[in-house]
Amino acid sequence: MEDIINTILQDIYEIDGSLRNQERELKIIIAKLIASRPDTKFDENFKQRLYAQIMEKISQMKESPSNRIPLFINFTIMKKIPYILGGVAIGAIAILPVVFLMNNKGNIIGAGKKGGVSVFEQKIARVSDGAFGALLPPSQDQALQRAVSSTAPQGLGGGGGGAPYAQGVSGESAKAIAPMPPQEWVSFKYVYVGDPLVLTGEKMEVLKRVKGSGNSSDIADILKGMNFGVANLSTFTNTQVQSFNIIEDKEFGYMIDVNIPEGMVSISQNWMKWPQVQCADEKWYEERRIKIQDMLSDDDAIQIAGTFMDNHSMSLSSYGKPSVMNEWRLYYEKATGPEKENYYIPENITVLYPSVVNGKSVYDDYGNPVGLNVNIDVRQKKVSGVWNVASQNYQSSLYDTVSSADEIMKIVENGGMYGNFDSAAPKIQEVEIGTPTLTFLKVYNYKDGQSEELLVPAYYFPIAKGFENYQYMYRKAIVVPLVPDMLKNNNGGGPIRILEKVVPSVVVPPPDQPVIVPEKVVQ
Amino acid sequence: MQAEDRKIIESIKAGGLDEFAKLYDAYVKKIYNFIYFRTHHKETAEDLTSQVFFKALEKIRQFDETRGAFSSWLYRIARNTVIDHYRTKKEEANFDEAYTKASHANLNEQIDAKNVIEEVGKYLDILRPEQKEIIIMRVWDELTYQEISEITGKSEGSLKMMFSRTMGELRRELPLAIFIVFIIGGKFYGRYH
Repeated sequence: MEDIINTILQDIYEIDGSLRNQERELKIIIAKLIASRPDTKFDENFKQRLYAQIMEKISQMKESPSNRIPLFINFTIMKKIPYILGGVAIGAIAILPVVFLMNNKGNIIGAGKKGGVSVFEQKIARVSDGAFGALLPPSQDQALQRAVSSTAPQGLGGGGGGAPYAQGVSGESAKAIAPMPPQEWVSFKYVYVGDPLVLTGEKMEVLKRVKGSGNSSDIADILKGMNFGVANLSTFTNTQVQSFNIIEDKEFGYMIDVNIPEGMVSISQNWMKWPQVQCADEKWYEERRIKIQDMLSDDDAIQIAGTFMDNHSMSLSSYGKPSVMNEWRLYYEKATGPEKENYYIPENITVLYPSVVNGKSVYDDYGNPVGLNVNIDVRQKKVSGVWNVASQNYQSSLYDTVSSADEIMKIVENGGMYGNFDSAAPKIQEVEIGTPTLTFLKVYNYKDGQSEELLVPAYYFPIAKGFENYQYMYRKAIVVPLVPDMLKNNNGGGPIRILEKVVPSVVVPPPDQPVIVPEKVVQ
Repeated sequence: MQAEDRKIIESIKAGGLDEFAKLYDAYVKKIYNFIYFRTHHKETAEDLTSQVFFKALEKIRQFDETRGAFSSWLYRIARNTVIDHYRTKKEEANFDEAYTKASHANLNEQIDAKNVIEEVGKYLDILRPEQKEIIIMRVWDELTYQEISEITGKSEGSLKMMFSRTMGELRRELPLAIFIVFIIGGKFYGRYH
């Protein structure tokens, strides 16, 4: 502040040198004027929301320069809604959120081939270098939670490689079911066998997803004006709609959940409108459970997903070739005897449309592809849910990258960011790592109580060989971020202990729950 | 900043409309603050800031760098947007009064700040609107004379003259008691004297 005061004083003296005699008083006046500057309460969320709207507008202007949509689509159009709707009451509850999401032409979720531009079309805007601040490595706990919640395949329990898969069963309940394994483990030594690694340390782009879009306060204002008979909602001020859901009231209908601040849409079954299966007894279960011959082929599953996406004009322009998450098959194929006979065949399978951002694939900390998940109900041969439909507005900022190949190799040989090679293990198994490809690593940066979703440049090192005899080591790659700050303090995990030489046992799960495989445990 | 802005605008005019995001990133907080200082209302400031950037986006290809800096052009849009806002609302408050008549709803939890604003506002009230404007632009918005000149259309020389005279007037008007309280309080005296 003193610099400002002196600059202002110099300006004054330039005009009237005699005021130097009153410098003390002038300094106080200027300081007081500066001190009276109000706190403007600038809101970073507002900045992000407006950014998303501007990028959306830019996209519209680029696509249709001669046919521009009115500029204040999120403000002026929204503000006219009360007048348009007039006295329309409850029906508006369902209508307004849809209006909010619509860009034009009635398209809600994405542009697809039938609609215009939406926030779900990929848009990337450059901002200044290092604009997202220091990028810190996420804690191991966070990484584990994400690995479990985001990519768990159906019908699979147990774990390996530091990324336990356990859909539908919490860690605690899994422990309760699984017998204690013998105290013997193998540690994996990762050996790089790829081409020599050359790092230039050049700046590379880090992307930040701009989440929310639109000013939802107008929707809130309209809803507040309706009389729900419980309270006078109009007495609440500065309100915004944060989320809403829409249901399809028909057979095999869906429920669409929209989270505005997160810029996320998810679609799930409207359970009331889907056939309910109630398990009567074991005989009933045995007769009706999905058999291996009932399972959809990958092609059929992908076709069902694709048709659904097409029918609902959901944009797939930000995603790569779909594949079925079939990890359960690996274990099924290796199972024998009663284990195979009793193997739980999942009733839902997932088709993954992998994210491709700026031409690069996106992975999580454990090398699992990140993207849009479409769940298929095997029994009904219908899509039962769509997850991770996220706005695709990004900011791009350049960051320095690692220039030392040794630094990267050290992490790779240790098993990745959360690996921890334990040379004291009674058995060491070498695992060969191949030449990496440049990808994005999806991480979450927690700042001011909010999480930012970042895509950080990273090397994806494929695991070429070494897990063949370890039935439950399904890890396919080691992903190492290239931003130097993220490599600090990465050694947060304990030794990975893969137990072997145990007597196989079978746990027959109740319907709709995955098999718990106790033979191999990650500690 | 000006040279950087110029490069970005050249790129936008050449078709790289995405580059507008950089300008947004650089100026959104400044423009929001500029508007807030004149409206003292968060939601209004956000709404008007949005309008400013959408207007700028629409007109950016027509921006003529020979007539001044981009920042001045953007502030000019902001200033006109605030004036339009007051004209449209036809409320008691007007653009000139907005400089000093804060909506105290936002200040309830900041008694110190409220007191300072009220106290300073009382003395700013003795000034003419154009004097108040230059004080706010120079001290709160931290704009240069060149920018203020490009925004208001007045010459730099006359602005400097007006600012200097205004400070002289304030020095004469502020009673000695305030200086004494201020000095005893030591809030700024210790640091700036």
